[in-house]
Amino acid sequence: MSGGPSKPKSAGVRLIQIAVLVSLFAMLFAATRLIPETHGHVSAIAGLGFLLLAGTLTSELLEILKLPHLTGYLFAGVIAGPHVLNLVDHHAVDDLSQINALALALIAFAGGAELEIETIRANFKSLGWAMFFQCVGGTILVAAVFVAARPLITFVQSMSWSAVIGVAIMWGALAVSRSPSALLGILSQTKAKGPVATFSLAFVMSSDVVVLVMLALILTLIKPLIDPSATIAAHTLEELWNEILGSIAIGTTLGLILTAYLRLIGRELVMVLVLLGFGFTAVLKYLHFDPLLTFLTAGFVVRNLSNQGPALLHAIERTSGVVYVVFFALAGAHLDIPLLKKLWPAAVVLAVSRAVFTWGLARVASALANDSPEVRNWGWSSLVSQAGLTLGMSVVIAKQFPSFGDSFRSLVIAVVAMNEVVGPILFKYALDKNGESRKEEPTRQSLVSLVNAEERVSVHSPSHHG
Amino acid sequence: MGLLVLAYIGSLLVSGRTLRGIGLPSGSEYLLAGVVIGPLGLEVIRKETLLEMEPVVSVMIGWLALVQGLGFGHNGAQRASARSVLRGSSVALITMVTIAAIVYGALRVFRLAPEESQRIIALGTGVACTETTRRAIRWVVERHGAAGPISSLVADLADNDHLLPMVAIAIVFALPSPLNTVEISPLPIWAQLISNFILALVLAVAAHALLSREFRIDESWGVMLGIAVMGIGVSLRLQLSTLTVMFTTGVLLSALSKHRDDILAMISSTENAVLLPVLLVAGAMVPTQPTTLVIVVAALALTARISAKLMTGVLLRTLDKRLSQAAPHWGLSLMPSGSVAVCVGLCCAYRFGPNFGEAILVASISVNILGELLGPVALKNTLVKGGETTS
Repeated sequence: MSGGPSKPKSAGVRLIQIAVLVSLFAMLFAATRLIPETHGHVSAIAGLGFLLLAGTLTSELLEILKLPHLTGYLFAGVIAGPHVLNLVDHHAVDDLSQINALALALIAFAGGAELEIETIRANFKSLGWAMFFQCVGGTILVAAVFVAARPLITFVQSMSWSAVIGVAIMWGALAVSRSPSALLGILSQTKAKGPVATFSLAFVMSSDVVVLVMLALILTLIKPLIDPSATIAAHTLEELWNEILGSIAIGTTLGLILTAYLRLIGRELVMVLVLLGFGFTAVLKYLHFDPLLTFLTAGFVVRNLSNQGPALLHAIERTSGVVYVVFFALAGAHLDIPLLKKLWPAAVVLAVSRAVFTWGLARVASALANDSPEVRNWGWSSLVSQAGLTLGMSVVIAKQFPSFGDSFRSLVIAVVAMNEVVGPILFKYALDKNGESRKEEPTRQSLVSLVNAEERVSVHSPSHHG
Repeated sequence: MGLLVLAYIGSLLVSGRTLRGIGLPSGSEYLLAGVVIGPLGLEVIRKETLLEMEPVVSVMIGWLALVQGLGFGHNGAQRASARSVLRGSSVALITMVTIAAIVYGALRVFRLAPEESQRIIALGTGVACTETTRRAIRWVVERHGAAGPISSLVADLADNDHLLPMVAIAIVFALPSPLNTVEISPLPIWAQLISNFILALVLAVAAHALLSREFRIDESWGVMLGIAVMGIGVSLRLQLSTLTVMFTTGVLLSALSKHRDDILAMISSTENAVLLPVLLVAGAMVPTQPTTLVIVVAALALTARISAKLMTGVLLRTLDKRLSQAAPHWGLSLMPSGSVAVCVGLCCAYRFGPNFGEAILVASISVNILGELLGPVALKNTLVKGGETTS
């Protein structure tokens, strides 16, 4: 059976992979053209299988270019998605989006289970400075660029200056959110070990919690800037506090229960994770708690309060690989290409400025924290990626500000799409350059490997969501 | 969510136990549990929910068919001989034709169904009620510690008789019918039939190509899941027989791949987890107010199956010396049916809708329950008489 690193693939193997990929495309193409309309969830079933296979094969073929597997999954989804070949149509993409709940749960579990108290303690100074500069400095600087780029952003051109500033601050808060899924996907593929990997993991997993809280606060505080009749509601802050506290409490309880289960039964872990991912997520949402924070806490508890962390991580790896291929392929299918074409000037300006500020602020923070040269040079590379968390936040904003929310979300989608593609490539490059990626190929996880998903990349096209 | 919980329970509680003589041999208890929780019983699951479950259940059934296909033609690591396959298929053919003929005759004579649907109901019932489940045979053999030529023969027959129903169901689905709950396929019948096998071939070759290098569990899971789900989805879209496509894929992959044993060991571990919810759903689909057609078809199927198995028993006793000591009615040992029968019945229920589709499903369930009652006892007696067990 399996064991040890896989051998490098020959040209013959690559040719076989291409042949199989073409056959799969042809099969689904023929099926969709022969029977264009289907009832129920038939197209979703075929789409699911196709994305799983095509995503894997594409990622393996892109290995030749040393691109991360994640990029392959995205690419496969884009090609198969509604805007290119339409092998996986809008309905199928929507149907399959339910998998994102499972993906999010697994990401959060894995993220929490990867975090060790000792690591956080050892890197506390570094993390603290980075958090301050990236979250505060990043928000301000990106917001400033947003204001400056006003001529390129149509939906703010008719707003008052106070409203523009309010929107800009919201944009700034979104800009400092990261992508644990992309991070953990790359780490899983490369099996990277080293200062950059350690710093990135600790920072990204903890910063998202900070950003979630920050955004909620900002949304409450800037409302009067955008809507002069609005007031700052104290109960909103109280609800936020309850949500955070409750999520942590439930997550802690879940973590303890999981620990007991792992210890006493320890079987059917894959099924348990799937049940938690689908069922428990729905329960948490119904009770207005945050699934990401809950599962993150649960994973953290299992890792740090018991010795069952490796067992949990192993179960997550077994489950997540397949889930995350579909997760990122769906993200690719969701990418709104026409929208990107329309918004690219503003999106490029905002994406590039965000990346530059991220780099600059990371250098400053690292200098103050006296980080190692590796972290100083490359610690920023994992911070460029953005994915589902950012998009999820944009949905919240769109609902709170319906007058410009859809346009705002469209711009977010465009920028996130760029960061989603560029970020993982950058991070993998950094790990390779820094010598933290393992020289030998990791254990065959091309399909399974995308451990740690995190955010749900719910790149919905505005027109489709209406 | 309910299906996931059932799958979890199935995997946790049932794994391997039936083969150690615990639990009923054909899984009838889960069918009956489904009846209890379904609309006919406590209505824990409503009819609308059962219909909404169709996509997920279709995937589960397709997966089971794939597992069956991978295991077909093998007895453990040993490949079955062509003679065994031919013998098993012949027994299945006799059973299928007998049941189909009797049901068709009754439908025509008593006009219990529209003319255009009689063939489908008859053939569908025949296909659904053909199988002898190897689980039950092994259950009896292991429980009583039996060993000998009769045990081997009966196990061999059970191992090799589900090729025919898995293929024949494609004919049932290809026949034009107003019963279909899906849109009429644009493909002619012959094209539909061939498409089943072409699709299976493409899937099997693709899977073989992707798994031909060193076998790695994690990678292989993704390939098998992707191949299975895509195959099921495409077959559903083209209105082909998912059972036929996935079973054939399994058979072809088993023939092509050098990692067949590893693949089978990997995916067969999920069989119980998937089978349990399928059996429960099948039981829950039993109609609350069965029509005359449903009752008559079930009764005819039971009668015909008993006749067919007895006939088969007499025929084999004449042709095979190993059965010379067996009683004339030893053919009842072949009565137990299992997952193949239920899957066929459930597919037909979803495909052909209430009344007609349910008639086939109820027939398959009835045959399963009757087989549970008669089969193990008859087999045990046959083995005792043949001196292969004393208990």
